[in-house]
Amino acid sequence: MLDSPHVDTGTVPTHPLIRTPDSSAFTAAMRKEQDVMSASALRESRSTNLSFARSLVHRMTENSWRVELQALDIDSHGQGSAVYNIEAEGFSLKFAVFSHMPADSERQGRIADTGFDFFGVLAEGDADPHIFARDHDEFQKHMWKGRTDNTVLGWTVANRSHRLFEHVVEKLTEGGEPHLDVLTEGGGYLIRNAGYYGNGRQGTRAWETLGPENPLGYPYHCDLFTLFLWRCASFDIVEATARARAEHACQLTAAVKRSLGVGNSSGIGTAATLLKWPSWLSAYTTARETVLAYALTKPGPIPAAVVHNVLAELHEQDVEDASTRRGQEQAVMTVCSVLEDIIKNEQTSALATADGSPWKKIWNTAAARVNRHGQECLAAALINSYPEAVEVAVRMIPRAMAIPRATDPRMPAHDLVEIIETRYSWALKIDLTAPSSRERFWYRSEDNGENRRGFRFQDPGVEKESFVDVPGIVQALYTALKSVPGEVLTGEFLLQHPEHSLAVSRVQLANILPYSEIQENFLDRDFLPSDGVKGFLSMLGIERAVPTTSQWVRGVFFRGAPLPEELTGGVRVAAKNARRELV
Amino acid sequence: MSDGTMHVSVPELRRMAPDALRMSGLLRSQADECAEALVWTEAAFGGAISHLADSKNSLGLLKKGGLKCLRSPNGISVDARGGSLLEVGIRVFDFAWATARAENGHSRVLLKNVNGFRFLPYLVLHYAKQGAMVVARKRDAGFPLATNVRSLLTVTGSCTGSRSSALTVARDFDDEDHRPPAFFLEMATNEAQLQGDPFRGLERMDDIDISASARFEDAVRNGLSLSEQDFATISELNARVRVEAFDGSHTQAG
Repeated sequence: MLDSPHVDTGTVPTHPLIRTPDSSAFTAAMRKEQDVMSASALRESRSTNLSFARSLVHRMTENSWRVELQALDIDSHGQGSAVYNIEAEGFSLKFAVFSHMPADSERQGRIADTGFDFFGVLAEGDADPHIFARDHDEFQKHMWKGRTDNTVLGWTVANRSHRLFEHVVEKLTEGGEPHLDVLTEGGGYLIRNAGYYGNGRQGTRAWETLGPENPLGYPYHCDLFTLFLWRCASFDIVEATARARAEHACQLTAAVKRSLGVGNSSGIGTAATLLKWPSWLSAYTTARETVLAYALTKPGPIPAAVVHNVLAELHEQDVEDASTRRGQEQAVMTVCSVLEDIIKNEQTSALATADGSPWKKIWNTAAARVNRHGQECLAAALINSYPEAVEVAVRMIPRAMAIPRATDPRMPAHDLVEIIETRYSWALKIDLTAPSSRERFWYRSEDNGENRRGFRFQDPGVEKESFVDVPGIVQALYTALKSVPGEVLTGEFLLQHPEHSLAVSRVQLANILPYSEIQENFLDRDFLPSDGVKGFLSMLGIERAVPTTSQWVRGVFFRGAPLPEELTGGVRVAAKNARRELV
Repeated sequence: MSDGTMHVSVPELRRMAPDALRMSGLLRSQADECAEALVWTEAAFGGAISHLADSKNSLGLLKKGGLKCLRSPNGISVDARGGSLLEVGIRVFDFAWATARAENGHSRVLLKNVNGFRFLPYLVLHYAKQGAMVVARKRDAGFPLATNVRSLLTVTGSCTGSRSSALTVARDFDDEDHRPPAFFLEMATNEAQLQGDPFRGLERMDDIDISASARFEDAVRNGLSLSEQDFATISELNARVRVEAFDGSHTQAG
């Protein structure tokens, strides 16, 4: 812990690209960083319509993407192949699936694994079938050392749900259909994503060259589209497998299909991503907090339809929580109760008056009565109830994500000191001499580079630890800066102290970007990586996320999303409405 | 592949480069920024990855301490202690750029005892994008003015006005007379300051090679051909950051 002067750290800097109304009320409504960037906030963060999976679904439905099964050859074991044609906004894509004999036991889906139940290739244009066979052969022979070319956007792997895949095949084979409760209880998916490897990996096309006009040119949409395709493939493969076993096997109903998503389990590498790319973290979080502030400062009276939507969103989250058995239902119901109490009392309802900011009053009331989980549920419900703000924010995110972490060598040392004292007071307060504060270290294993977390004073490999130590480098920089004259320029300081260059660039970035740092010590004994994983997956748009250990979070994507046939033909089922059908 | 080359992508190199540099001896704090210099240079000119393999003994000097600048009436000099521009370049250019801004918009730094000149074009372009006017001149062409203009190697960068970025390839920068390699680095906030300096009258060698950026952009779009040896070099360096499995490490996965 370092001594630093007491400063007000509550002010959130204005993002240079995400513009907010110039009013004190709006500024005051933006939540403080210490409230938003903590482990508990990440743990309880919810997917919203800003999340990348949802913005993808919105784009697919708005632009009537066509996802059509071109070829399917699956035997009674579920072994074979499938090819999909995709037409999206004037671009053509193909997705090839290779389905293998299932393993005797459920595969975990880790990058260190040596086999997967499914292998997929997403390619541009009217790709020649031999490309798919070539890439499958490469993967079979060389796994992640296999190579392809830049007509291919990416490789993806997936595994069967041990609980549901065979169960559903058997039900269909018997001429019946699976029960929704069983599907929900079993995880809500037939296939579980095990990773997407594109953006240059194995020689694939660089994502940045797609450009914003490309249907997959938005951040993470390429990765997440393959999850959507796995969901499509899961339906086609279980039905085809059942048909191979019994000619008159049933098919899945649309309702059953909508209730299913694609499974996902992510580990600590995703938490490290939040630290590696502060601009990304800032872009998404600023967008989210800006939309929330927009809702909180919306003047009354609030239209009844909006109030109804907020309540419906809360109810939806209540049901989702119940399905994940997190024991948090009470918190959500309390938020509902707070709102319902106010709405019922029309004479005193803040929502019905033209005075002030009704949602802000309700927020304050709710915040005093519900826990962090309930607050985040209310925040997500409010965000999802103002689509006009979401639409603007979604457009801003890509540019904001692209802001580079660069060093300004002209900045005097005393400016750096001031930034640290205002923006990193949380880091200065951490006692890094405490035994527990450095107990852990993060590293990449020789097992295919899998991210792992070891014990610093016990395990080998500390000298190769991955960077997650923001408080450590900031404290070291602060100490070093205190030893030089304040007028020394950053360029000269770093010439003599190059070991601080990473810290300087982060500090300078934090000076212009709000919400760019998670205010936690990732090395501490008590830090739970699953909190960071949950935060990142919420950005992506995961539903029903549950930490399975302190290092893994599982959940499901695209549950309730439109089916391929609903993307076209005018069936504009918005993701949220489709999800609500399940409630 | 049969011809000894393979197709790789720029993001792939970008992903491998930071850990490869770290395992080559560079400070972890510099790995990201130096990685971009490595990848850009490999894509635009080639030879960057082989420089890693060839410079094992000169990389990592900043782990032993930073560089000192010496200010004298004749100007500022920095002794790179035999280091590579890949490692020290950004620090020296940052220093020169900061000095230019602090001292009437113009600075001149003599960088002595340095190698890795193939990274000079990246550095010039990188700082030109930030608005810096950059000229790098071989020492013999500097104080006093050289008589042999043909031996002058100039790297200029400009993002202002109608002039596009112009780069010369610095591959022939090594001294023929085996004197410790050195060059003058000038940085200024506007071109007039450069034209008014003691180098006035020397022929500017603009637009000699404007294709470097185009080659890099093409590599981003279409990938690049890399020798299998170079790919093995960067892959092996990158893999060194991985920790051997030990009892219990599997349970630490996440």
